[in-house]
Amino acid sequence: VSSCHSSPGLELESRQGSIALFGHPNVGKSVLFQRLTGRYVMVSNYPGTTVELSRGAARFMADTAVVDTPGIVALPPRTEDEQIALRMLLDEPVRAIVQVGDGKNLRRSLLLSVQLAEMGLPMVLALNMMDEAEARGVSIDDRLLAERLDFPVVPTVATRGTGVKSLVGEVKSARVPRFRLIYPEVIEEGLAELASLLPESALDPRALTLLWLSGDETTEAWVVERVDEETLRGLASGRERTASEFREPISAVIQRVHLAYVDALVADVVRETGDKSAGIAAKLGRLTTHRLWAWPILAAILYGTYWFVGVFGAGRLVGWIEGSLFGKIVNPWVTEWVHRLVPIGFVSDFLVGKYGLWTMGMTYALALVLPIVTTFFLVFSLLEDSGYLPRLSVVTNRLFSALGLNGKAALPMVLGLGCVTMATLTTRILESKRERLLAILMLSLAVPCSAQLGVVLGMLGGISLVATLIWGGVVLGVLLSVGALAARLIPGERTALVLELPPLRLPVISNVVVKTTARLEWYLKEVVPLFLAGTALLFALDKTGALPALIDAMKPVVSGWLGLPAAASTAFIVGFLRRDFGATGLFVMQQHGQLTPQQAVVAMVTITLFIPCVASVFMIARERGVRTAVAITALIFPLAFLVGGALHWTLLAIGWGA
Amino acid sequence: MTLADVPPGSRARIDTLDGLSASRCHQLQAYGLAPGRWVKVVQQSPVTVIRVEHLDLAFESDIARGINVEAEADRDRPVRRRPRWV
Repeated sequence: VSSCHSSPGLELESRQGSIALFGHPNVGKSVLFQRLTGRYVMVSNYPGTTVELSRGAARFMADTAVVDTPGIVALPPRTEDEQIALRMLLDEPVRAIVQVGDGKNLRRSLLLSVQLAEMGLPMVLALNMMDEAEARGVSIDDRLLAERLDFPVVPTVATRGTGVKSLVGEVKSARVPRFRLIYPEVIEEGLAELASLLPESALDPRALTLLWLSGDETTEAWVVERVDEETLRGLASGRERTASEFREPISAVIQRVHLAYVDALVADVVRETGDKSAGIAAKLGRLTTHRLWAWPILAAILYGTYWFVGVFGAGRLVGWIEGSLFGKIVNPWVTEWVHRLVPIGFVSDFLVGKYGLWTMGMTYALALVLPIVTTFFLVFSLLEDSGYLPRLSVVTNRLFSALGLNGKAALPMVLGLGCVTMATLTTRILESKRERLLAILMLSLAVPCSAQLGVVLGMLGGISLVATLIWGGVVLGVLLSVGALAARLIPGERTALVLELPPLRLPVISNVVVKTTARLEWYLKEVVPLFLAGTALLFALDKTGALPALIDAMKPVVSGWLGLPAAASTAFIVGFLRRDFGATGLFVMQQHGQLTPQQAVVAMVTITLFIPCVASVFMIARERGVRTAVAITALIFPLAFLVGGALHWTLLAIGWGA
Repeated sequence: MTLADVPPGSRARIDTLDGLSASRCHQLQAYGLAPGRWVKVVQQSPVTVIRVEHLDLAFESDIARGINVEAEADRDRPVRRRPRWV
């Protein structure tokens, strides 16, 4: 989920450039970033937690920024988040690259090292997770490794801070490694010929030319911005000439050179004393993706979440806080004092009236939604840190195939259960534009975010399990049918699943607590203002007399088509701002006995299908363009009312919950 | 034979990745599925999961079918009985 708020505008730049953390996904770059800057960024046990650059001031070096980048599997990059990492190297002055490598997977780590070492930038390799490497019987001769590569290699355990001090020392004195691989002659000729045509960059011309020869899109876009057409033609024909000498792509030829070098190097520096790791975690990890056992495990996790968030959080906690604390003590007290201190009716109404900032906005945000999202974020952080989430991709791959996607899309979808806005950003980990578009559509239409989900569970759980199942069934049905339809309509092919599964780990309680706290802070900063804005809007509409008129105007839809009391219109009005705010209004109506079970289900289905919030629309516009954002919005709202009405008439026909 | 034919629990040596697109091949090799390397098959259903070095990698059977392998000779493999349900 990470947080929806943008990072504080740290425009740290210096002439010497920043320190860039690079490496594969899920190797601990963000943990190391925290160690080096003291700034908190989200850390989880799955690849794709970081999809943007994060910046922080280095603790150990004046005027120097440390930049955390999204994980990169290989150069040239395949996905948008990987492209961001490479683009950073092309665009920004970099003082040193710190590659974060996985000690237990040295071959894979070194394959990226040799590519980075050729960039012509000062470099240090932090061999991270050395504790896991040791536990698996992997021992590495880091001195010999450093000697052969000509840059420092520092074993680290970032989560414990081991090795960070010596890493800092090496970074301070880092220099450009004298490291160069020899490629087949035709490629060397191409390199010599084209290097002078390419514009000057912070990278070694040879490295830039290698990227160009590999046909990398990011480099291509960067070059196109900087050279005239004639040079571009020369570059393109030079590349074609080189490519015509091989039967396979140039990138494959280059990679083979890297593979051969790394194989020889690893044979010299690694000793495997046998895998001692087949512990409980490894066995449990296998069961979570097993074709049979995966299902009861998933069901148990879902039920546990339902119980903790729906029954305990939305039921009991909200009961105490909203019912007893706010309802009987805080709100009567605040109301009394406001009336005593501010005897002007208009002002006191604005604060503690029917649409009062305190009695509606703050009470909804603090007493109703906050306890629910707290329980949800706790469960969610536990799941994230355990490494279970990517395993869902394996289990759900077939389901997502029907939607034109692959199991990798499960990750943004599940993250959407935390915050849809942030999950929209995470769609960058998907491989094609088509997949990202499909995933964003699904997210906006039918994935309830934590606040929404909590309110739904609290409200429908209070009625019956059947009510919850009807809601879930309809929302899932819409997700599947719209998804399947969109997959047919949007041109392009589905890509197959390839995903690394992180080891299952026991979540570290301190990280879970810190992460949950960070998310709650985000919630308070991001959601409370919108709740207050929505309340102020209702207050203004009410005082100007526009609200009754609006309610009247919406009556044919809300009462006629959906079969709800006219007062439910106010919930839908604020639902345009944030649907969970609308849902909370409906929750309160139900608590006051204003909704039958049938009406509650219909209202909840309708508002769940709404666009999540204004922020998510802006995020879609930012990621996929304004036209896409408008199109998705224009599709979703009518569809929400259409489905809600259809459900109302169906339930009426079968006589459920009237 | 292809990687899809290797029973769970067995090891196999990657021969070629001929059946895959160039970019897919590039990605898998970056993970370590390169010709000559040994991998261990963890499961084949619902998707193929293999272990290469100390990394578990999941991919669809279609991809497994595009990877030609040489299976570990039977006599080299220690006989090990596993409970059926694991």
